[in-house]
Amino acid sequence: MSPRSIGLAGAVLVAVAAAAALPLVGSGYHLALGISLLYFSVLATAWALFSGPTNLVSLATAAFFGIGAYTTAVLTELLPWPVVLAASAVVGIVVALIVGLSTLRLSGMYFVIFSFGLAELIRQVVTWYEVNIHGSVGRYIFADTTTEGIYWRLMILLAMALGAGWLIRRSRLGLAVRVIGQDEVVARHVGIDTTRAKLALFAVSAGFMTVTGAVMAPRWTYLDPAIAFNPVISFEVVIMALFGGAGSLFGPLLGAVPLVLLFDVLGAYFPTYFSVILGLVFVFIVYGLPHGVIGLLESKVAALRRASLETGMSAFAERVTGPVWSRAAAHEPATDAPVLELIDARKSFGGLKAVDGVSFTLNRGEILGLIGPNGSGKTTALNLISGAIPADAGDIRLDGKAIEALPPHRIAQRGVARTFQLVRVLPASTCLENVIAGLAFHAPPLWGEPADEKARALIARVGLAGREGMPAGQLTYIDQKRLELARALALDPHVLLLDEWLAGLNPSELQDGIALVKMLRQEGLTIIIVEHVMDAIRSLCDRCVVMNTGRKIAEGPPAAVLADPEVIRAYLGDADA
Amino acid sequence: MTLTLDILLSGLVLGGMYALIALGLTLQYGIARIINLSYGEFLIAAAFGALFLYTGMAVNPILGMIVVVPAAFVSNWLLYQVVLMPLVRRAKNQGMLEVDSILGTFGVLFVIQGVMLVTFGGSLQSYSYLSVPVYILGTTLALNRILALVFALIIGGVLYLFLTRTRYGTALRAVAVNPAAAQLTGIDIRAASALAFATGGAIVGAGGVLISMFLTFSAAMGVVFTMKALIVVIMGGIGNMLGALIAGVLLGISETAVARLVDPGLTIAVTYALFLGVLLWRPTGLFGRPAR
Amino acid sequence: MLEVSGISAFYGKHRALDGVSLNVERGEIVVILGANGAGKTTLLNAVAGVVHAEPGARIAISGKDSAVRELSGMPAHAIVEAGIALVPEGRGIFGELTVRENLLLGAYPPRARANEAANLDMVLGLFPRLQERLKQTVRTMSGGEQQMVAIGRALMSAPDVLLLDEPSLGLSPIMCGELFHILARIRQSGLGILLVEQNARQSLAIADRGYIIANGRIVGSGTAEALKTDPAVQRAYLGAGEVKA
Repeated sequence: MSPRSIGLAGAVLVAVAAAAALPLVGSGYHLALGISLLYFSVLATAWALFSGPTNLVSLATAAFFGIGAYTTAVLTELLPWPVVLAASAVVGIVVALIVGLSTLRLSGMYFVIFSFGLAELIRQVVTWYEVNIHGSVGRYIFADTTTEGIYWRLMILLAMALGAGWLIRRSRLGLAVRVIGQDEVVARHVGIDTTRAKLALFAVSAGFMTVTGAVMAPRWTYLDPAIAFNPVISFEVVIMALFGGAGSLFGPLLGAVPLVLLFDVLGAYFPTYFSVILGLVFVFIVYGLPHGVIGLLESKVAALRRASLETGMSAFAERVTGPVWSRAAAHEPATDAPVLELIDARKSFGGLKAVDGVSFTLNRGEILGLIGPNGSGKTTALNLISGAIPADAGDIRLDGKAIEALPPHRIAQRGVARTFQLVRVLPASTCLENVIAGLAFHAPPLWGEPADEKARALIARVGLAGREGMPAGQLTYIDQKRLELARALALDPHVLLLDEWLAGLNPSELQDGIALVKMLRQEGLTIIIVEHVMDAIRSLCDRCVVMNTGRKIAEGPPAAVLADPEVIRAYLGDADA
Repeated sequence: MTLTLDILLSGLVLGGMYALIALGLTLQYGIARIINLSYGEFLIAAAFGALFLYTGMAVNPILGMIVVVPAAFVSNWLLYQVVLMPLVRRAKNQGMLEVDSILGTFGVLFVIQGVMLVTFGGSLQSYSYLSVPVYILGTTLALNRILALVFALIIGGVLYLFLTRTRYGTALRAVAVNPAAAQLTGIDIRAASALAFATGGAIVGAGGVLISMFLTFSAAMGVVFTMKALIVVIMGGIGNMLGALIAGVLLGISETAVARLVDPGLTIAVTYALFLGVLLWRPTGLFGRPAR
Repeated sequence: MLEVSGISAFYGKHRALDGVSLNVERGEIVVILGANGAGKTTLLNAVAGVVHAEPGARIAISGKDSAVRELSGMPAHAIVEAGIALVPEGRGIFGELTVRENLLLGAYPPRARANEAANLDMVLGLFPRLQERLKQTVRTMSGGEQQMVAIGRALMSAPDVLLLDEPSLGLSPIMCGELFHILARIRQSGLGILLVEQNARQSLAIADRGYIIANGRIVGSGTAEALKTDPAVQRAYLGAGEVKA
């Protein structure tokens, strides 16, 4: 350990000790303020766990906080404290799973709108239950605890929330949501079960919020639904997390501390204008600090910027969060069947038949060129194979097994990797992380040291050595294409789909690119290339399938199909039609 | 039998209001592409406007609309041009604008709500205007409710004619369907968006005046209306006016039924139950077309 | 009539257009040929103001009044008003609206409003098939009919120059022939037409001149007659067995 990090650890230790000692020395006012600071810190940290990386704004904090408070109110006289807290976590997580399962599969907007009304919904249901079943709206909480106890419990909870955030950021789950937040299509195509990842993180985040509510409940000796489900809490938490910076672990903390103090002052001096000022502060933050205080600091201080890009991989973190994932199907052994078969595949968009009954097979170890004029359905055919869009009809088989009904992440896990026509990298992640995203979700997943080594080797292989730490968004167009190929190769695929990967290269880059693809075939990869650069087709492909208006019009060796009169007509048009 | 009819009639009135305010939100979301979480605040502000005009200056709410609706139009136009335009310019894509507009209007919500709390206090408000019973098919309905429904129908009808029969209305629909192509026909998308946003605001203002004639309201209730309008829009299929009408009426009747038969405190629960049901059954709404 | 010089544009960090210059005169059909990704669509979009062109480009149009107007930096809707109408790739029609609504929206720019009725007659004369389908929702129509709506809508803005981006895409051969026949007729009314096409043979058959574009640059130009026999055209699409610098 370096003297500097020892110093840092010492300072943190002293600060924690000082904070823990506050109840022993401070006045009642200080203690109350400390409790506010702590519980908002936990809530904002928990909020950013999910909403930070995914960009899905959750407005449901008050719902989970209230659920926790009510769980305490109901159970505190029946059960000991630890059991009450555990029970509240379970209730919160179950509600989060129900909400998440019904909305997180759909567009993000549905989730936001649903979360917007969740607190009100639960408040109504609880009120109805209390009035009609329990017999009175409010409840008195006679918990066997002290204010100091609440303070210390919140301290432990904050440490746990930060610890959870630290662990998740170093696990595959954290990587998964970072990928999802940047490009969900890429996430699916590197084998991430996106719904499961979002759901898991939402549940963890909700769990912390619920327990915070449960810990806080005894602060109000009397609790009714209007107190427990106060929507202002949702609002304040979002402001704090955004102000500090929802993208980083300590950002929300950095936002919670000054804003809790500010709100405390505002509440004392301008109680009537509190909500107005709150709104104005919020609007200011949305406009002036879109990436929060942390984002502002990172844009000014290079060392911080570098640090924010580095997210280590921890085997321990992975062991803790690993149970989130279902076990991916292992690679099937090679069979005698063709690697890939399309049988009468069809896909229409509205009235347009993009792929209209196409069949072809792909033999092990060959490069198949899928060519045809613009709009002939080549990319749609690739999308059907990779699962990006479901086929209307027809069979698609990988190693003899049907894959046409599988979601893209399953197909990716079975060994189909692709690049995209309009290059898709994760712009805010480093090159290294872009490639690790390809390594971490196939079967068996790579993580930690082995993933790091393999990723560096792949980056070197596509000619990007030395740029491992650079954000992918800063690469040139051509280098982004190389990086995308490295990510596809990271999946260790049997089948590689290259969608115009050679387009836009200059002549010498083109030669390098062709040489690289040839080498991949020699290593045993089976490749489909969609390409308009005919020189590449001629020198690379063993066979070509030519498409026009959604149908296959020719198939055979490149020289033969490119001389076929019908193919020439498809490309150049027919002057006498 | 009387109870059923009673529920249907009251539900129809309420549903007509929901459909009307959902129509305004459709303009704001479908054309200007803004998810406006402060939408319901304008409804409540208009309700307070009507209350002030009626109790303070003895102007009846229907006449009051002549003042309140243009005021709502102008304030929404300003909201779009001043507060939201920087976000529109900054957004690199639709997703970013959605997130930014949700956050920005979330802040605006608290500002407007705060101003109303300071000005009018937090208590429930109502006034009595034309609350005389009218006998219909053996049951009664207050005259103010009938009048509200009639005006909602008129406003909805005028809006429908504007959108389908006039050049500007057609241009607004064109922006909703395909903004990229709309600019190629010479439509200034930002001006059209501002116009649509302001028109949506005018409609929710009218809705606020009509609702204030027969419902009690408070400064804190805006959020509930925003939520219901959003949900009706999604249930009906985004951008679909007929869908919004049917979803609104469906919600109004279900809510009234639950309020009468079970508990008046469970209206949001009904809204959410319907919402979830529709989402699970048809993720793009009752009349929405599946996305490509 | 349309004068473009030194136009460059980026697609992200990729230079999609690199100092392209060209011109289109009255009553002329000019075709731009080139492989996919060469920059053809970006060129049309930059002229129409849909894609932001780098500073330093000059785009100017002289209309029927022969006053020269500078268009660089103007937003797309103002460029339509100045007399340039783009039919984008994939048609860019309003699928949920009727044929009539689509066409009348074409006459939205103030320049086109006075002659709206006459222009509508003209368009329906060119595309008689649209006459019977004025009330049909465009989304439910065939690809060829949608293309007619798109071209008809562009003509409704009474443009001086018509830009067409791959109008033959996805059309059957018969439809395609009909389309090119109609373009030849539109030219007779004095419009300048700038056409981006994959269908080199058919477009050269009706064009007066052409440019060949590769890697964002003009690499060849000439009369349609000359280009028909130029091996560079075939090379642009099918390659030649060697890598061309």
